[in-house]
Amino acid sequence: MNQRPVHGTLGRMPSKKEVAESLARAHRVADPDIVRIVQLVSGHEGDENEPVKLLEVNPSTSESGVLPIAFGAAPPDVPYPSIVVEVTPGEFAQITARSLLLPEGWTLGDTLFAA
Amino acid sequence: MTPWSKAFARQAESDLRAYEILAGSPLPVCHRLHYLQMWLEKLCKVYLWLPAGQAELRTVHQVIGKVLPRVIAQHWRQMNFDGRPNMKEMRELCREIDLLHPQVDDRTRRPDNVEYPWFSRGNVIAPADASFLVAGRLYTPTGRLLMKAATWLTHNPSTFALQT
Repeated sequence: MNQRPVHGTLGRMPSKKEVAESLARAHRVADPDIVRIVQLVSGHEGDENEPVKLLEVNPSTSESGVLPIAFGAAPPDVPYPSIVVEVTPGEFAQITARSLLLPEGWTLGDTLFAA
Repeated sequence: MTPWSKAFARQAESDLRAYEILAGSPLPVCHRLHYLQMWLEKLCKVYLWLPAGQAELRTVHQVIGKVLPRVIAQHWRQMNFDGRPNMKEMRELCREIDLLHPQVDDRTRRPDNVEYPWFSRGNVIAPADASFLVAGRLYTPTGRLLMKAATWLTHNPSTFALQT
């Protein structure tokens, strides 16, 4: 059956941060070109239905602006669904300079990986 | 754009929204892949229903492998993106998405699909109980670029008019 694991190996419901870290590891394995992963947070993170959102910096991607893309879980390698915004290093610099805007209400959170 | 192209663009956008909702749900993977296949097929038909589109492909399935890599490559040329992935991999992935449709079975070699049960090695398999390798391939560099380009084209259908 294809059901989303909710307890993983922790024996309890993982926190959103733990899910984000797990996804960051899985995404790096799937695409080694990723050079940075930052968690994106909104004002609804307390809602369990609010998806984990990751900003992934990848020099091999197209320069298409901020384009959230939904990815479903693909067990066993990718255990949870997520929303991914993949940008080039140049676009990431624009986001930190606030000349390229994230979706309304979304802000940069913890850096989960930096090459 | 022709009225048919506009209508397919509208439906592709709606199918994408359905896919996004299903991607975040705990439902079996077949459901989101079903909408992925329908979304991308309609996106191809936006292009096919333009005046210069191939009329013989307008009313058939299995157009994703034939059309989408070409449309995406043209989109990347227009934006001067030179980091294009291996287009053979892109075509293979698109072909795998075509094969999710029950009427596309590679001359009976691939009965697995996202809608109806099929017979395999003495068992009848329900799509809801099946795993689909193509779901994992969406995370590869080629899969990510495919998803990003298809999402962009769906949100910007007027781009298609520039391709003919």
